[in-house]
Amino acid sequence: MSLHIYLIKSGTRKNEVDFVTSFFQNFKEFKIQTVKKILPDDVQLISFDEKNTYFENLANNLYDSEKSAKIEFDFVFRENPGLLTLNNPFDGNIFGTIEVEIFSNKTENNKVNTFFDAICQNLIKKEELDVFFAIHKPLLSRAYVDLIEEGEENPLDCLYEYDSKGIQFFIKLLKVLEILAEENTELNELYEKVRGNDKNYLSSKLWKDERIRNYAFALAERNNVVALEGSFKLYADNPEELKAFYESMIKQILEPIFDDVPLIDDKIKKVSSKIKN
Amino acid sequence: MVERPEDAHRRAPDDIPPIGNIKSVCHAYEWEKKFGYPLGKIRAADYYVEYSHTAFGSHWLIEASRSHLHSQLKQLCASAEFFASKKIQVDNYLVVLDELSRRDKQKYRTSEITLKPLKQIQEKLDNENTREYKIRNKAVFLIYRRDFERLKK
Repeated sequence: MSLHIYLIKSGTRKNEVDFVTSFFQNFKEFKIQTVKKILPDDVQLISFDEKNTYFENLANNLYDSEKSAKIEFDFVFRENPGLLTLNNPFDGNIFGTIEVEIFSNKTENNKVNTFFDAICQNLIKKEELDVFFAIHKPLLSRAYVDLIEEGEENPLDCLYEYDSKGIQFFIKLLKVLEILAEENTELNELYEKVRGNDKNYLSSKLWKDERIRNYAFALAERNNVVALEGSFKLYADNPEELKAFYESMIKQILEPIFDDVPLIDDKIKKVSSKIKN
Repeated sequence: MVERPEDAHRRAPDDIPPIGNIKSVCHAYEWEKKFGYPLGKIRAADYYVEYSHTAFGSHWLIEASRSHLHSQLKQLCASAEFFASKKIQVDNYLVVLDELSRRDKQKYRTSEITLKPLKQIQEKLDNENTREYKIRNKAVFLIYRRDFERLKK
């Protein structure tokens, strides 16, 4: 339930460091405590002064750090400890270029255990996250907060999501159809019809149709899910509402489109039966 | 999860493996009073446990609260640094886990037999690039909750 940010692969270490310092400048309640550079056999504490040149000095100290180094920023968010990690490329592929985690303070007064808790309690405003990601769109590939560790794989487990490519909105719908079809025979028939299509092509067609796109956003609103244009942003308070939203998109958009499309198996049998021995 | 003392005590039997006779358990919420641990500022593991005897040493720092290994290690590392700075004896580090997530499997290698040192993969996804994951030059052990019963036998 942490924030995973994937930056574009061609970004330099300087780009990454600038992104991180910009994050701390934008979200002032994340107060840096210590900064460490971590290499396989070495840990270095990076010093920074807390006066006017705080971020400038910090960034200058980190610009020429090796890409193979991980940089850890320990921070305090209100009454909770947290950690922002700027990963090396290997860890970045698995966990995101940047991970932001908030941890329990293990006291009786603890109210926040995860990054997602902080969004739910409006301590971090999702609109501010949206604006921050929009500003950094040229560097950003995607960002999400997952409900469980496997959230990246299953759109039903991602309650906050920002993607720089709009067509991902409908690619996620197709992924949800695939997941739900595993347990629902009715949906399985629809999935069999849809799966033969190129996902990117179909999603792109759906995204580019303004009426369909707006209709999908209206369906989101009916299910208490925030879906917004620009790039693509999605936010839900709970997984049930998110699932209901995806189910309504399947029913209202995908089913009517594929209603008359014959099953490929039926077509093959039809052709096959006409072939003379 | 609110760390009320009664919740912490109720959860402890599910979190602390029976790898020896437990002599004392110091819950994270007690660390501030006992060791001056700044709980709101430094990430914290869950228990500082003294066993009367184990094959590896008596004082263990245990992390069992998060659902995935990658995040658990971050809490364990921060606590390890604090305990070392205060010269408090820690012989071993232990993560208690229910299962390894898909992402954790990409990064860490664990033996099917638990209570073995944890390994991490470096740079390439192959076994040749694994090395023991260490905190303060000591191995980190991992145990699955489902194996607690087996340890009692």
